[in-house]
Amino acid sequence: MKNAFRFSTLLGIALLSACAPREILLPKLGIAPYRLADFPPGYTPPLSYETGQPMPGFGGSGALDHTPVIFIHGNTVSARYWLPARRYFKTKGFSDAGLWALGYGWDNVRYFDSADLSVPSVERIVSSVMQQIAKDTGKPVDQVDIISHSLGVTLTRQWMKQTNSWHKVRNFIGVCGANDGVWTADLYSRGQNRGVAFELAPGSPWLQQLRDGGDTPGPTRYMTLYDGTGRGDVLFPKPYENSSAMEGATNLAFNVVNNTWLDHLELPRVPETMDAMIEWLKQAPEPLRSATPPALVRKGDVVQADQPEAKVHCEIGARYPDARTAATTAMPLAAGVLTTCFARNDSTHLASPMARFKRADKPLAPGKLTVTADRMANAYENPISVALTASEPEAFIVYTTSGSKPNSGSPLYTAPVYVAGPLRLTAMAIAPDGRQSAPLVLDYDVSLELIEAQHTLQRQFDSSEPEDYEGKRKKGR
Amino acid sequence: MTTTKAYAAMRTLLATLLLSFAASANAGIVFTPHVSEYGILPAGMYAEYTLIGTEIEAIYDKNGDKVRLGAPFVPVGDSTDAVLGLFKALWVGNVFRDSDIPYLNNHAQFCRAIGSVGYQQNTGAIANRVRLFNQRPGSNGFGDLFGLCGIYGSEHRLGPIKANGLFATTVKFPIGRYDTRAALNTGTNYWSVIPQLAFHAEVYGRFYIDGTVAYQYNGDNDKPAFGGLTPTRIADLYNAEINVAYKFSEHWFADVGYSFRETLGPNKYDKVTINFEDQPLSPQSACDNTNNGISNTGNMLGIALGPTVPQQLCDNPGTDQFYLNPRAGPYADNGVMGTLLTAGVSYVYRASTVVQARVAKPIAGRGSQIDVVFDVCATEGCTTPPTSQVTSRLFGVQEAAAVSASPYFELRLVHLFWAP
Amino acid sequence: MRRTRIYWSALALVASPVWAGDAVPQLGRNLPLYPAFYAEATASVDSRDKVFDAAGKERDTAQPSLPGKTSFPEQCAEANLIWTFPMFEAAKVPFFASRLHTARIHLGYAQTKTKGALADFARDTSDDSRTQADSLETKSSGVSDLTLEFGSWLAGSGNWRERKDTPYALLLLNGVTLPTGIYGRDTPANPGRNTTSFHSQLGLYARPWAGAHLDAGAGYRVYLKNQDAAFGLLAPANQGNDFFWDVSLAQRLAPSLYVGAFADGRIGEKNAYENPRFAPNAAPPPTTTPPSDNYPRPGLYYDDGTRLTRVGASAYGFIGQRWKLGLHYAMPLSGKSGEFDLPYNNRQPAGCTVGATGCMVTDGGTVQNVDGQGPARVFASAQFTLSLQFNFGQGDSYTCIGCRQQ
Repeated sequence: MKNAFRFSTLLGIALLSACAPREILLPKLGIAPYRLADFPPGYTPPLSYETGQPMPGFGGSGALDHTPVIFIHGNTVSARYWLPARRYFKTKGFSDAGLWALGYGWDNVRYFDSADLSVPSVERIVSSVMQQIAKDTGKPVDQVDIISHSLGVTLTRQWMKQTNSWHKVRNFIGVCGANDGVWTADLYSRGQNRGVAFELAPGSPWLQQLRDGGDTPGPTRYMTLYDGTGRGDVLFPKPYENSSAMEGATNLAFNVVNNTWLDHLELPRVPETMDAMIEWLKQAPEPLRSATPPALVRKGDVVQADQPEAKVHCEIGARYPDARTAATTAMPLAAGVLTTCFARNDSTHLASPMARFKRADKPLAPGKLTVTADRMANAYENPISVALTASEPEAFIVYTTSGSKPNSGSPLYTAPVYVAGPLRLTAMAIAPDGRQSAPLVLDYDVSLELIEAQHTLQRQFDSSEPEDYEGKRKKGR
Repeated sequence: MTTTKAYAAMRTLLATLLLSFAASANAGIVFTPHVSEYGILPAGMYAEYTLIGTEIEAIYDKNGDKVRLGAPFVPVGDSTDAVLGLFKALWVGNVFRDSDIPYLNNHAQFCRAIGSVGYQQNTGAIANRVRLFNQRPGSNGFGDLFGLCGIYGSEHRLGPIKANGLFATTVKFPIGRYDTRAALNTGTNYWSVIPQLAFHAEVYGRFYIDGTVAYQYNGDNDKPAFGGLTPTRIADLYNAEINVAYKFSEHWFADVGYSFRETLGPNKYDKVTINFEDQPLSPQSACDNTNNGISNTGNMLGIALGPTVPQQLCDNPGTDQFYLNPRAGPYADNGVMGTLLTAGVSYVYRASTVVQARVAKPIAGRGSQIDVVFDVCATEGCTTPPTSQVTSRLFGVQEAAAVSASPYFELRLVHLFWAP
Repeated sequence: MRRTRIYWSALALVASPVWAGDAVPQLGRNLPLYPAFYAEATASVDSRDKVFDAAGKERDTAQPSLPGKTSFPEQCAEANLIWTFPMFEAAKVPFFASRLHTARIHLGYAQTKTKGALADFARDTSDDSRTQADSLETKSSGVSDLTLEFGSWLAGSGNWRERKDTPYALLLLNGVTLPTGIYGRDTPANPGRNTTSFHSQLGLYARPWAGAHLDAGAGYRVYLKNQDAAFGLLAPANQGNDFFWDVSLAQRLAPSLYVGAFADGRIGEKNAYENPRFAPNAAPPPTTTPPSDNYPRPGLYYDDGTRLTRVGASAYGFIGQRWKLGLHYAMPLSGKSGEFDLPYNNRQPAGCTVGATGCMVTDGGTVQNVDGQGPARVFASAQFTLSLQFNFGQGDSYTCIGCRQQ
């Protein structure tokens, strides 16, 4: 009996590996795990897209004399990560009402999701904060500042791109972001968190699509802050030491410049780095909160803003205009050429969403405009590339991978869309004459459940056995 | 044979018989820190599998001198062989995060459980010698269970140095295989509680330093093994260890470490019963090996009784018998001490798995020895007053008493489930 | 007995622990399973009450040299943890990067007993004390030896990412067995062997026709010295290296249901026995004045090796798609146990020290057909085994198609 006990003990140790005390044991004991929820009275945090639960986090209320700052955390942590930053920013004159952080994702290391899946959560965070502040102060909020860290950097960039929300972000600071990939996700080093890894593997198609059209689109000001030495931040050793930098941004390799040794978790939230961020944030003019943002209008073959004092910033082709793009009052459209623009009012410092325009260089065939994909909506075992085709060759195709409906400023289809994880691809063709196709909505999954179903023990002996795949996705996989 | 030679022969004989290993593996290398052992690890579940092997050909005596196993009573070359397979599960996280409980809410906790199976046997002539005492040369099976919980301290930064501390307490549950007749056991049969302070530092992003000091409270062992040559009252001990690693790349590390442990006060032995199984002993043979100066390698009984054996016993076949009977004790040793130097390389595979190979070399030590008094009697069980007494310096055995002077080899695999 | 078997079978199902001397060949053991973690539990019972003697004759006792019946009943459970995985795919390491590999851990729990004539001998305390036959024991239970294996599919796994079926595969498996098992020196049958062994084997998997699975393999195992041979050193101090083989064929009868037949065997080289301390079948010492005793003459003795050939039947059923339940019956066909002849000395007076003045030693004859113990016993009894395998699912299984190679 004693031997049996010993043996059971040993097995028990192995089984312990499958348990996480906080998430599993506490609920079994009838104890709800603690949650950070330091919000103003009456505020209802949005539901996390990943978990379906109210997001944890913090925020304040009261007077607000600066653009709200939203902190977006990185992988495997939550809003609590930014508590030191909240305290420090308050000592530097930021008001409680303008400092917000909400937690997306799973808040533990057991579950992971792709950045694509977290984009809706970021959308909910930003919308929720804007609405709360507007409600609290009685004035609309058109712009926020975002300080993001690690996974939050590429996630926020993807949110801005997928939802055409650059005009909502006055300042974007990305600290220790894997803008050019992270070694822990490279092909040699990848762990089990596949969704994230496929996105952030150096040279991944996902990073390429994020980069398509430029690193720093729109009216947003961009700053990156990172190690740069290859020694301080363990996630970015050489040759990835400058992965966080972006072309067109204010790039601060903090440890290089200051001869410091701050690490991945320190860089976003120690006083010396936060001082640098605050100084940079304050260089931007405050937008006029009661003003109406400008909009782009097309008058014939010319694009201009709907406000006299606003100007348009346009780029020809697939590249996005950015803050460096020359402004003009009117942008003539050349025949057969795609033009991408946003409008910005230098008086109110507000901007419009991005939009694309195209002038036909030949008569278009009448009829219904459609867009089709070469891969049907399904679950796949391996990552796929999806080619899109419009029925009108002169039409351009825009798409989103975050579930939102695309508009002309959404990502431009130039090459097959890379699908490495679960996502909803929504595509739309827009003809030069203004016709738009109905959105093509395709739900893809690169599914571990499918892989497991295709390779159950029985099916490895008898592949004719039907897959026991229910199409249900386990959380975080 | 002179008195000195006779006693030397006895000492060495019994040293040969009573060698040990077990504790050295557990107390020494099992807990010697590895790369970033005490660093604040990412929250998650870690599984660790360690294989430790050793062939002990020498141990330390009470004076800190190395003693070759077997010499001079059996030819050198035999050893104590041991393999230990360790299964470790480590949880790192914070049960109290986001709560209002001060300190705990922002300092991660960890718990670890360690189970093991082991093989520990003496070999060759040493194993045969053990049979003279109706004992067993070793024992295989489960080891004790170690349970540990602790909390990380805050992380501090000073220029290129980043450091943190931790406090942990380990409890050793003596559930391991324990054979009271075995010279070696994978279990210990006594409880231990080990509070521990440790620190971890990273310097210039390339050097990793891990160190610890610990104090081990040991319970008593009321059923000593191997004829009472494991201590019944085990001395507490303290140890201090440090490990320095260098990162060549994100995948390759090399480290060296130093470990020191020493008991506070002596181990005590209260139930010594070790004795020859087959008695009475032949005085002629004994005297041949002692009084008459025959070389040690010619011993047949392998015991040296010294000049206190009355010469007439040797010379008179008519009184062809006598008996030995040990006094139970109490006896005390000088305490034990051991130092180890370790060196290893680590390879990080896929950011979630570490493979490590390491060697540990004892560089100094002090083993447990006690001077056991044997009554020499004419009747079995010494029911009559002893004709004389002899004192034999015997090695204490097993975890609490023996200190190996031979290297260990370690192969270790650490896997982080659900790696970030 | 029946209740005991049921109990052990149930325990294995629930708790999944232990291991027998000759495990039955499992379906798909050489199949390159898709990268994942698989666990397998087996439970077996074997009455071990018959052996093949040294002449190959089946005997209705496990100890032919002793009158009466002897048996070594054993109940085992074993836990096998099996990983299948790719290695260094992205690094393009020659050989390793292009195929699947497997790592396997086997650890078990066994309960063994000695019953009958040999147990009576063990309990008899009137034996000559010099033989150390007074401390003999008849029970030994606990953890068994730990086996670690690493293997690579030499063929048949190169296209594992795309394939749906594997028509054939060839596995090279190397392993070490560490003697962590409970081992009593005074017990004739133990869960552990107290000796390290290394083995290497080739395994073939094939699908000869639809629904059929053929596994076959052969290997060679090398044993190191047992430093503490059991039961008065009647167990081999040096177990003879052995060649082992197995072949099995299973056919799908219906979805989720397979039946199969298998044969396996091993051929062991000569076992060496070093300085045995006694022989249970030794004649008593001559009656003399003063009294005499006798003892085996120290030396190194050999048997003629061991051999076993078994056939068996298996039935497998899938419970859901992740569980595979198996029931196996193994029946030994032929075999050979290790026996050796052991010369004896007589000694007068009894217990005197050999070589001492007045201690007279004479030839005591030779004891014929002393049964080697431990691995020298080759049992002719049937073995029942219940097995259960589970597929835990994926590790890191698919590659980053489209990622740029660094």
